[in-house]
Amino acid sequence: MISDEFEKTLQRTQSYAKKFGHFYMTLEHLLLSLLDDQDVKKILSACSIDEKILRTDLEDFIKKNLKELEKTNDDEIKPTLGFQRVIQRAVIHVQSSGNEEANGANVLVALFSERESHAVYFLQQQNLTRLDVVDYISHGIGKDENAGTQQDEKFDENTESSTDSMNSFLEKYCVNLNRQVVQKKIDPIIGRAKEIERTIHILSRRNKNNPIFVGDPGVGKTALAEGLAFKIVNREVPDSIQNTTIYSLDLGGMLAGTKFRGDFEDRLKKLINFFEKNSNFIIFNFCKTFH
Amino acid sequence: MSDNFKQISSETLTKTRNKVKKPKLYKVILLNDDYTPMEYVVKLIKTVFSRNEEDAVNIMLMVHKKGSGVCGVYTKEIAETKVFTVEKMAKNDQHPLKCVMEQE
Repeated sequence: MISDEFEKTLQRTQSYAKKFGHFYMTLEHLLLSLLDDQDVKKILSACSIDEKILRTDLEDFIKKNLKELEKTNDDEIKPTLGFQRVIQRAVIHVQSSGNEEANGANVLVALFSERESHAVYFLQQQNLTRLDVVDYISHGIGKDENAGTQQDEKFDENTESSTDSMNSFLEKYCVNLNRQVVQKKIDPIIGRAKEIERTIHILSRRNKNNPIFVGDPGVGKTALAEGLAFKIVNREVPDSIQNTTIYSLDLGGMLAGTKFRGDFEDRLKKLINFFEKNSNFIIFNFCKTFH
Repeated sequence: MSDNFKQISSETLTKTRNKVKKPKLYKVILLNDDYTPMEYVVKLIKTVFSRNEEDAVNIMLMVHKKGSGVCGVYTKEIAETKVFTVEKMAKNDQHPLKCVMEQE
């Protein structure tokens, strides 16, 4: 009726309650031990849940808000009504769908039906819904594939802490021209020496240091930016801009998949914020028209 | 830039965002009746809500005088379990004591 793995999880739940000295096993205890359940682990990582945050959330909650439960005598540790309901729901569901054993994943799904539970609240805070879990269990669809927006939202909250994810964000919407030069994908520029010289001059100014290339299609505006990157890599520019990296912003990529009003602005804002914090960047922007 | 924008997305969807509400806490309340002995109520409060003698007596008097008394504030899950335990215990001992929970 219950899988071996989940049997272990239940025992862990009991020992958590014992460790904290509580006489009830609550859903929060259950979720905490589910975090180490193999079946649940897979789901959480597929749905890009930060296990550490969830764990500390739960532990903090259990320590602070469940003080009332500290037991005075050596009574047996009992599950709460909600706890019993969740397990029951999972088992009934498994039986009615014709399977033999209920595992941690089924219990996680059953957990979502509990109302006003802090355990569910912590999951929701991480943007995990019942649908995400059920989707993964039935079709193996992780959340990343269809939820770019939610990924983006996460940047909002912890922009500073997530340099790694910021880098992948950059990769997604920008092309690093310096790297392209290093990889020999950009050819040296011929002619236009005067224009590049002037660009370097403008970039070196203390303020108003934003050059704009204007010209008919095909005269080589992009080539100028690439030529500049080439010069930077070959150390032919003044020291003040020697350490800069040129990114070419892929506006098409940024626009693609912005389903909702404001998604695009969100992404743009995020990039700009990032560039503001790290001053050693030049953004080269493919804009057709400036307004 | 705005030209680009118009070309690509001609329709605008409205994003519905489900706000995640923090779960509320619940009060567990004992209701007065004329048949359950005071001593029994005190004993019950002590065992179920792990209160000391003094608190238990105060809560019992509150129930007696005002018609109801709050025994504690808990998460929903625990509150309902407490209510269940109280009613089960009272029923076992053949007392008509009622216990309810209420959103804080």
